[in-house]
Amino acid sequence: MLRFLLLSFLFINISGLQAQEVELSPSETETFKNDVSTSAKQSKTIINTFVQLKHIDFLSNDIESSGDLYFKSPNIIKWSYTKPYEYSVIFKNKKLFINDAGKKSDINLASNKIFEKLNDLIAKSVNGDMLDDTQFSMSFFKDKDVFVAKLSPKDTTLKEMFKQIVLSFGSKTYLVSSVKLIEPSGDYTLINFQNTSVNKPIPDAVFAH
Amino acid sequence: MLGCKVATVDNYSESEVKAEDAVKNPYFANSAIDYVYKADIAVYGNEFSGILILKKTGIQKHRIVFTSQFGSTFFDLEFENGEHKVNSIVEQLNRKIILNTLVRDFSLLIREKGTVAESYYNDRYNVLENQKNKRSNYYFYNQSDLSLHKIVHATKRQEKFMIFFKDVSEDQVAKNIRIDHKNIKLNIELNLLKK
Repeated sequence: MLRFLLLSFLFINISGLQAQEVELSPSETETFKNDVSTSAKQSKTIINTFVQLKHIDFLSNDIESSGDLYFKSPNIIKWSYTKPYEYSVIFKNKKLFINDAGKKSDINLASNKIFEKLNDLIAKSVNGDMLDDTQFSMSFFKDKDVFVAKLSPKDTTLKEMFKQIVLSFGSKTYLVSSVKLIEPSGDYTLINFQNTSVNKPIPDAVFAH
Repeated sequence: MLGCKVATVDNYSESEVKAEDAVKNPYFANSAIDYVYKADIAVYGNEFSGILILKKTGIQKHRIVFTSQFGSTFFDLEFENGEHKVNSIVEQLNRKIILNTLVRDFSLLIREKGTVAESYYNDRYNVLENQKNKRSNYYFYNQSDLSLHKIVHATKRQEKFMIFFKDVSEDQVAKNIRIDHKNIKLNIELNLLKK
């Protein structure tokens, strides 16, 4: 009996905690997906600053890194880390170009399943274009003034890397404001985007290696 | 044959081993510190760049996690009382020779104490030789400040790999660490990340 009470208490408590997050109805989901898709189609370029937190349970502090992100439709992306060290990655033409504090290298994505999946995932999550994907089982929520999409990978390679990907969208812009990549262990990487500008021309030099 | 003997302490003078002598490595011994490094690991032509996290999680226990810049995990290893456990490892690194090498390297890297079999010295270094499973670990301590400068892991005839520690801070954190192998193409370079 005590156990039952304790369980129901826990249950009430958990549902109480999640009360702000309300699951969207099928029609709301439809509207939301359309809005995201419209916004994604209109975004030819996106420039963001980002702050990335890596949370590992056994560490006392999260590991923080930050930089700038450039996106050009349909799938060119540059992650330019400036802190804690200079490191940039460009995803372009099925290749991954790395500049590690001046040391340059490239990886053919086709030959590397993990990076290919990761690239695809990142491109799609930045412009919000992943919500029709057959690769994920999805659920949608509204929490105060953000929409939240929770995606669970169906693909085996991706599933080994992340058990869930949580995307947050601004309720007015329908652009991704944060990405949370949750590993099977529960450890996660949280990327928060700020200072977003859309359709601002990006010089070709930014994507040159 | 003279040429077959390991040359690690050639030209060093021998000194007497005292009862209280012990090899000590303080660089990963503080459980209050998150040891976070930018890591470059080159394995047989493949290069992995990311972040290596080391943490002392128990009295005789360490956790070592290597992740990519984007947060996906390359490997997650746990060491306790000389035993190890692989929590996860990506396909490209999950080959017996690579995994065994990584485990051997990291076990030595985090090992805090050991007994001393022989002792040597020259003008620059005090060298304490620790023996384990027919192999030797030579700990080189600077004469000037007694800090641990390098560890050489060798068989009777051959040096296998060495670990170099540079730029040691006041709280005993080595800001630059390099692990070089002599016979296999595996090198690790670690640079401490600033807060």
